[in-house]
Amino acid sequence: MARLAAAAALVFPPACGGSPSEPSSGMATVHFVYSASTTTRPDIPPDLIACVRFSEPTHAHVGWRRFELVNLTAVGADRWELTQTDVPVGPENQMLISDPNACLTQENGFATSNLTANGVALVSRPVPDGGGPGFGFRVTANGTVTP
Amino acid sequence: MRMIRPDAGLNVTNDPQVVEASVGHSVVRVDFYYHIDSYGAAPSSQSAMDPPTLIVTLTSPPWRVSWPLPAGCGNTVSLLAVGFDACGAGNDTGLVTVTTCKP
Repeated sequence: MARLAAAAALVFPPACGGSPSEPSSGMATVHFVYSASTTTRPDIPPDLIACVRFSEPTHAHVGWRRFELVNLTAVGADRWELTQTDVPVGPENQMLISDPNACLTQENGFATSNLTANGVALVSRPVPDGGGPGFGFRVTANGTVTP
Repeated sequence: MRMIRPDAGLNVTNDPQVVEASVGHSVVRVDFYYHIDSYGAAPSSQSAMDPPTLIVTLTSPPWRVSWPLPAGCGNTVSLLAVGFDACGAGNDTGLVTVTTCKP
C-alpha cells in the first residue's frame, strides 16, 4: 500500500506554488499585514481606470493555490490583513498584492512594499508566474517566516 | 455605462463569447478587458496568473467584441469595459464576473 501511495504521489504531484523539486512537508498558518490606505484615491487619472477596477478591493493572489484571488480585510484606515492556514511548509511561496492605489506607480497595480508575514517584512521580487512584482517567502512548521 | 452581455454570474460556454457594452453618446473609444481571477479544474501545470488582458480597443459602435474563452472549465473571469469621451474623461461598466468553460 505504501508503495502504491508513493507511486500516486509521483504521478499526481500537488498543484501548489514553489518549485516542483521542493515538496512541502505540511502546512502552516501565516498572518499577512499590508500597510496601505484602505480607500482608493479619488485623483487617479482616467487612463488607469482598468487597473483600478481590477485591483479593487485590495486583494492577494496566492501562489500556492495557483494565484487564486483572495480578498484582504480592511482594518482601519491604513491596514489590510489576511490569514492563510494552508501555506506550504518548506518550498518558497509566492504572493502578489493588488492595490488600486498602486496603479499610480506600477502599471498593473501590484504592491512592491509594506507587506509582512507573521511579523517579518517581505521584499519585493519578480514573480513571473503571477504576472508582475510580488513577494516570496518560506515558512517553517512553527510559523517562522524567512523572506 | 453598463455591460449588456454576458450577465454577471453566468456560466459561459459559447466560444467565442460576445461581450457588449452600452455607452453614452459622447463615448468615442471603448476598451474591453478580461482577467482570470482563479482557475478551475485546470491542469496542474497551469499555474500562471496574468494581469488584466486588453481584448480590443474600439473607436466606433457597435461596442461589442467576440471574446475567445480561456482554456479549461470552472475559471472565474472578470470582464470590464472602459469608455472615453473626446476629452479623455473615462467611465466604466464595473466588473462583470462569470465562470467559463472551454473544454
